[in-house]
Amino acid sequence: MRRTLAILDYALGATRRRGGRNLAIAAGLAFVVGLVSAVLLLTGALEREFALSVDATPDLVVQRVVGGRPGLIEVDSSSALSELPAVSSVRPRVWGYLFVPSLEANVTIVGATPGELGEALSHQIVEGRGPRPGANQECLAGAALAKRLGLRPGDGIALPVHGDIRVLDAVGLFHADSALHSADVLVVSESMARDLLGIPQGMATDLAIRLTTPDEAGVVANHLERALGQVGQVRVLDKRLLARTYELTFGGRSGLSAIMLLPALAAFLLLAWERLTGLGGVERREIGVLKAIGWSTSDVLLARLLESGLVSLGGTLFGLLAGYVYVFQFGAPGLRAALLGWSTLYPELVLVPNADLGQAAALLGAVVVPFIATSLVPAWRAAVVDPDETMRGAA
Amino acid sequence: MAYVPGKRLTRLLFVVALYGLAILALSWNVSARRAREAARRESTRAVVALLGFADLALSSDARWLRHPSQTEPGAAFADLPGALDIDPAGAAIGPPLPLLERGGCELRVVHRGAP
Amino acid sequence: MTREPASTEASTEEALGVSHVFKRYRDGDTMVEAVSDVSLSVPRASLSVLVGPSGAGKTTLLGILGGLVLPTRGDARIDGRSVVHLRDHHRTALRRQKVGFAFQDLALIHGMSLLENVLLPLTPQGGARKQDVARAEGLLERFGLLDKRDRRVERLSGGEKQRGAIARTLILEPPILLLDEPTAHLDGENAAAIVDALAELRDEGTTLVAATHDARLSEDPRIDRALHMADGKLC
Repeated sequence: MRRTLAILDYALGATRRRGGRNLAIAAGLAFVVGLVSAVLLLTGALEREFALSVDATPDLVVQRVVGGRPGLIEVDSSSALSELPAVSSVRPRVWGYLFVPSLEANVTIVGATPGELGEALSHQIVEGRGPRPGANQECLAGAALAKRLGLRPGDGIALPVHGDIRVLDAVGLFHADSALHSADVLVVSESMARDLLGIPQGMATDLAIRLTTPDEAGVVANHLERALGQVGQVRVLDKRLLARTYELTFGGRSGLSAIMLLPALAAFLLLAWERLTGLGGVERREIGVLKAIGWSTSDVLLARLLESGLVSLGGTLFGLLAGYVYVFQFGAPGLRAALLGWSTLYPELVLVPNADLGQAAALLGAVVVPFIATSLVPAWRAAVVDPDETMRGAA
Repeated sequence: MAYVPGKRLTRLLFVVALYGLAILALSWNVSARRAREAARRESTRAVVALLGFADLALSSDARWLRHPSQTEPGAAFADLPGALDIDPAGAAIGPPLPLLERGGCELRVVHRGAP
Repeated sequence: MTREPASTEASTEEALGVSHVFKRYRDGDTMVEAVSDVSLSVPRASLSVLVGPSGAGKTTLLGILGGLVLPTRGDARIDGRSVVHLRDHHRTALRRQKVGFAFQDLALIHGMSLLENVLLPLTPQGGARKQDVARAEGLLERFGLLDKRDRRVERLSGGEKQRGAIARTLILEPPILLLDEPTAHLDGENAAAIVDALAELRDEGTTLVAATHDARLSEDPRIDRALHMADGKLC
């Protein structure tokens, strides 16, 4: 123990003596580890947010496909579907996008029935109040939209529709807590949604279906397609397939970001490799001196191990901590656009870390262990030969 | 700077303690975030049930669309950065604003709420 | 670690010995025979010098004598024990107990203070304790370096570095001390101080071998034995 501490003391001195190089390596490690962990943390947090509410969404969504594009579907067809044994409820939905040029963004208009609104508003979801039943001009606005427009509860929103102006009252604003779902929405009554989006009576954007046994979604989807006419004219979206799409999208994006990081990573690794394996003349001489004054090979290696361990552990841990702060405290500026999409109405991220200590330890090990090994090999080679030869080689 | 045996070890201990504190603060932050998530679980699910979207308010395919169900099934390269978007037309840099205004709907805010 | 008194040493009076040692180095494309068929026995508590021009193989022979360099052929003994066939860590342990080196090339480590350098050999045994620091200061005082104890090595003069390196080897109180050109590049006063110190150490019972081509050391009357070396051979 005393020996280890004494050699640690020496290693600390050595770390300081080669301070410039060690600092550069630690900083490089911190940067690379920070970026990689930021990508992983952000992706993990989004997946977690998605998983939190996935069972609150409809099991199946039925769309009509017209000319290869999503079209409107008849509300009447819902009655045929609700008679299917596996279906517990069918809800024709009226929703769509309204493009706002000055925001360069789509606002998502969602039509809701008083019943749906009442159920949702029984929870604390808005600041302000909910729309009164029958008050057609009252609406709820998403947090990002409100922030972008400077809305406060009670403010009006004027929308030009069909050469006319509709004025909505934003009586409630969604809490930022749910921003990842509600950032860009404007929840209005169903008739107002039809008016704003130009969806005629008797038609709906799609049908949201809940099943008695969600596990059979795949089988039911086939029945639904047949019940609604020819295959190819309707599209049935399985929630689990959407979830899968989502995972792929973000998995693909984090992969893409990782690929863009690769050149930087490779450059750093090359640099570190060169620095670590090319033992300088000064260091060779130092190892020769230590051996000559009675240090054994294992003493020399322990000093080297401690030095590179301190540098790599310090750098990597710092990178992990910085990655966490960058993502969760600052909302990952820069990385966000690459990972979340080229959206303009960004939700304020209320992210919850999904990674656990084990994953952090795995990342730490994956970086630190090879790093130490890389630095140990040349020192070992220098330490096992005659000190005299070590110095001859250096001279 | 005189050499005192063990002085450097004391400094290392200080740095290790700093790291320990940072990790402690981090784990506290994690559990606080998870606790807050648990607290908002029901209201988030209420919002999701109201909206009925199976996805997050992030653009996931074409630049301005956030719902995968609105993707055209046959569209190629829908998620490539810099690629042409599919609906509405656009690109990573975006089409000229006058073009966008054609299909757009300009909204205006009427401030009424208490300041 | 206390030095054993010379009188109670076992069977032989030999502290160091080599028989028929060779050492070859590869230097580029050619093989250089630095030491060629040398046999030598160094008695205890003696002060010997190896004299010869540079390139005669003095440094290599010192390395072999001290178990720092393994000979290509032949045997080397420290305290009667052959070191040629010892495992590395046994050889290191034996060297640490018995032999101190003050080599030109094995200078003090830059970036550290003089005192840190002197205490460095103690690190593998658990580092310096208070009494070790006091002892190191005593050694520095003996070599007139006490006021430089906290100075960085690179700011010391050549003579100060030389004396500092000798002081460092003495911290482990080795019964055998090997020195390479201890008086090189030193002015008369500094050189005389070193020779005085060496003679004094011999009188205290230390076995010393120094390689030199400096007449101030090799022709000092207090030298017990001068061995001449040329082309890797004793002559």
